[in-house]
Amino acid sequence: MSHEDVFADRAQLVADLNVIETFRWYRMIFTERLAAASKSQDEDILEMLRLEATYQLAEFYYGLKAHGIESEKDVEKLADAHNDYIEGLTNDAAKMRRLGLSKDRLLDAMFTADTRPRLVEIWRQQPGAIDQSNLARLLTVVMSAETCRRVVVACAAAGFLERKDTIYGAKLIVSTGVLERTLGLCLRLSRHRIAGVSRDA
Amino acid sequence: MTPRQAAGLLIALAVSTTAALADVKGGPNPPTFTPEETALIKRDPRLVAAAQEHPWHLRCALDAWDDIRRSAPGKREPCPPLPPEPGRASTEGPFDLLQILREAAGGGGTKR
Repeated sequence: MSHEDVFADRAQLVADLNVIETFRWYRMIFTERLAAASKSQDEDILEMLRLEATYQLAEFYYGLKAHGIESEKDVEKLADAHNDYIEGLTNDAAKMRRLGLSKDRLLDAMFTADTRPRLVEIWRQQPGAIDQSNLARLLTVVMSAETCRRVVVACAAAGFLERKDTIYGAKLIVSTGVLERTLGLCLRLSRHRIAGVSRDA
Repeated sequence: MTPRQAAGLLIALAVSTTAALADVKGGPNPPTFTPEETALIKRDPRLVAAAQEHPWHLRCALDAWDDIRRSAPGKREPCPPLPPEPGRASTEGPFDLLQILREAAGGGGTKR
């Protein structure tokens, strides 16, 4: 399709514009609803909730829930898929550069003989629970460990995550379900809007 | 001019071999460093970068280090918060993360 064709058909163009408006609307209502659902209305917390990194965290939890990643075996597969991806990425210098990641940082993000069993054991004891450092590993490709920590702290203050101390000194992170439900609802509304069956929420 | 303020000017000269003072962020009231601290910062490019990007955080870290060395933990003000990082610039990362989740769920569709 040439670029002239894209603008030739008025009906197609109107539909295309509806899609792009819906993309923007989706992100806007997600942030609005998240802020409204927050137990804390502290401006510093709300500022963190508006960040792209918070959206990425919500998308990750939504992905876990929507894909039905629930059992020990599922989380083992997740760790393996993550490691395979990271290993592939370490061999792609151009992509590493585009993602702003160094090889050392990627190697730190891999699940090792120490961290992989911890991920699985914590999940086995409480499905959905991930310790904060392993959560940062899983999210390496979209945010730094420090950003992950700060977003998690803000989401805990907002009531979207539980952040519990463990006897090992690690922080255990468990979603309360608000992030994934909010994202899922916004996604559904957007899909209906694009399909022309928009309904009031 | 106090000795610390003078040292603050020295660090500007020392760091200027790597980057200009104009690159130092932190507004009109940048922190000061002693000549010893300036020498330390100059030895490590990472500290030079920290002095440019987050001078007040570096000042805070050096103060804490000084307290530890003197075994005299002070009751200092907490370090100022770092500005939030907006996230990785590439759009590939978020897409890749969704593919990893899909693969963990067994490939094609979802398990549900």
